[in-house]
Amino acid sequence: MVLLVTSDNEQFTTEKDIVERSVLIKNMLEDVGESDQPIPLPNVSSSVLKKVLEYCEHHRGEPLPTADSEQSQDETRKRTTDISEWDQKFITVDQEMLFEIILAANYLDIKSLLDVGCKTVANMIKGKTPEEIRKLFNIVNDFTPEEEAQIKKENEWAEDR
Amino acid sequence: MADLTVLHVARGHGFPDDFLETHEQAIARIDIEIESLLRNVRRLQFRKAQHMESIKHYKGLTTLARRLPPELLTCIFEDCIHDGWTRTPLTASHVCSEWRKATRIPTLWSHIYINSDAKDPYRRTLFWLENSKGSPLQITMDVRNDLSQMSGIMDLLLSHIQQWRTFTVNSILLRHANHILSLCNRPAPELRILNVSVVEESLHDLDQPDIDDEHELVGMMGSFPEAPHFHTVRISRNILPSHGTIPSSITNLSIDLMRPSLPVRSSVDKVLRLLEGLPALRNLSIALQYYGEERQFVPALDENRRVVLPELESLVLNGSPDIFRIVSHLTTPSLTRLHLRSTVELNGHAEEETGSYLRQFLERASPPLDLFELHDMDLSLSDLSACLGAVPRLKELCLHESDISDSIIQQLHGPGALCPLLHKLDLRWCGQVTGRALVKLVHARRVSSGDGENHTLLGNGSVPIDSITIINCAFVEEQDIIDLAQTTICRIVMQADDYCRRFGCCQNDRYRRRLELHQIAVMTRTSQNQNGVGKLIA
Repeated sequence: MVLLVTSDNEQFTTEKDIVERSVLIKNMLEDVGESDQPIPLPNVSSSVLKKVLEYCEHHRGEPLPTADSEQSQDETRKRTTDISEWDQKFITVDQEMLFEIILAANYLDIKSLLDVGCKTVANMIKGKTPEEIRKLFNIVNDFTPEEEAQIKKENEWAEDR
Repeated sequence: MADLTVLHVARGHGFPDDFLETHEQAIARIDIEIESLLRNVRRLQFRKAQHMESIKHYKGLTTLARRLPPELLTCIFEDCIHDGWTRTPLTASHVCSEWRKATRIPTLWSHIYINSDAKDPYRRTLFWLENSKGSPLQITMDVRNDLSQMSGIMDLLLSHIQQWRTFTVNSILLRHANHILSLCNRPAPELRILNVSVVEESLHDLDQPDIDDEHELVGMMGSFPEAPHFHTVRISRNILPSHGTIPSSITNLSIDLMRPSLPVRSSVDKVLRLLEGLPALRNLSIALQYYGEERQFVPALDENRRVVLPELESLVLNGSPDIFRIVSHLTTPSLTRLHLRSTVELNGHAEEETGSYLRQFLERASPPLDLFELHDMDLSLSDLSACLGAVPRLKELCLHESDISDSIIQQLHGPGALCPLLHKLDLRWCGQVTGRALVKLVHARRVSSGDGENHTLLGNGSVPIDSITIINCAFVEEQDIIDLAQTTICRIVMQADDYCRRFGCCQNDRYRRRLELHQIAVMTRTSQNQNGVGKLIA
């Protein structure tokens, strides 16, 4: 069993094969060897870690992506933004949690979870105009007048198909 | 002035003369007070809105969507691009300053889409090229009606041919595709993939060994003279390419024969002749999008004709029984993956014939198959049994509406079992096999100790079944699923990149809902009690 401590000081005890889907934790465990010492995760809150562990538990035992498989995938066929049904249900959370999961997956180095998060955001923005994207994520248009002028010029090429 | 009669009556009832005036004045004072209060409310509402706007602005500046590190934003943008939304970098760069910064990475601009009919495609291409800097280019050209800028665009693109990684030409007419390809007569040191699609073409009779240039994709013949990494050609049109039109060095070939607008006759001989010129092929896929009176695929004149493809590892044939005849003419000593998918309802005779070709092919060529898929093809049980007997190294068997019986399942375990290395089964719409037979198979092959993932050979020479997919199999009950999931990974949903996903045939909704309602809680608990082997993926 492995003990994890979150940024809000909550402790989680979990099985090694679940938590080792995180390359960061796997490497930590390999470095420290057998130990009862808790692993601090200062960049992950308890609510986010709970979700991350739910993901890792569901996908336990599945092969981890390798650098080779990633490369060959890029070479032979285009990646898609398809997400499996379970993953889709899992990632149906509010925007704040979605981005927190992406950040946590990046920090913990869980490639498949990072993919699910990024694909979900990609699916949200695909086909939308900049204004629609701003509204969707509550992003402020902070361009300078010079940038606005440049953007206006670039807009000529926005319609491609 | 009040009416005298009214005043008289009011006095009679004891009302003073100024009664109404007093009340009207009171109302007027109240109205003034209300107006003053409402003015205050509006002022307070305005101040509240100002505060809310300030909060929104603050949140808008600090939103996580904006604060994601550039490398994660890049990942998201790349996902959009890979899914075909090539204008992603432009749109994203117009959202906010942080996103604009993230889109400065040249690789995001490396997918260049050119639509000949769009507004000023030349300047658009130039803009994309400038942003992509020296990164590898994936170019897609949709050649439609307005060709006025195509020459200039090709000159521009060819000046960057050293960066080309993938080149795609989608043309309405063949001659335009040929013209563009014929211009690509320069070395392309980084080119990997060429995709060509032609929409409008039709011929009545193509039963010639080679057809005239007017109908042939001749543009490819002289293109990319030096392209050491060029390995893949994908062609989508309704006429088969002829011998010599595809570079002989390519290793991956995909031919998608679209539905012709007029009847087209193709021949197995033409396919064989094409393949004779491609000895380095490792992956071959031929698909007929439609089969019916519009297309005939005539058999080879010499039924003993053979083509050796020594490097071929994967063969995918989608279509009609006619196209499956090809396998009986192939010798493929390295073939590890064979997918045969029928797109039509086969009658008894066609199934018998196909079973016979397949059996002959596997028994004669003995390919070292790892994966064997039959999709919507019911072989006779004796043919299926013989096919499995001819592939002793098989690891994965996928059957979709292609029946397998309990008796064949029985042959997969016990002494002298067929396919002893088989560890993955994918059964969909199999209407004969029972859940009990599958449970028995998985139990019989279960490793009593050790890790199932290592495919440890059992005493009888078989490996355990470590994954089984069951979708819409009539005689597999919920209890069977539960039993299977205790000893192996049992999947009752499609994979993310599943072939069936586009057809919607294997959603398995009703079955999954039933299992979810009644059993999933039990399932999850029981599967976790096992030593990490069992699992239900629902």
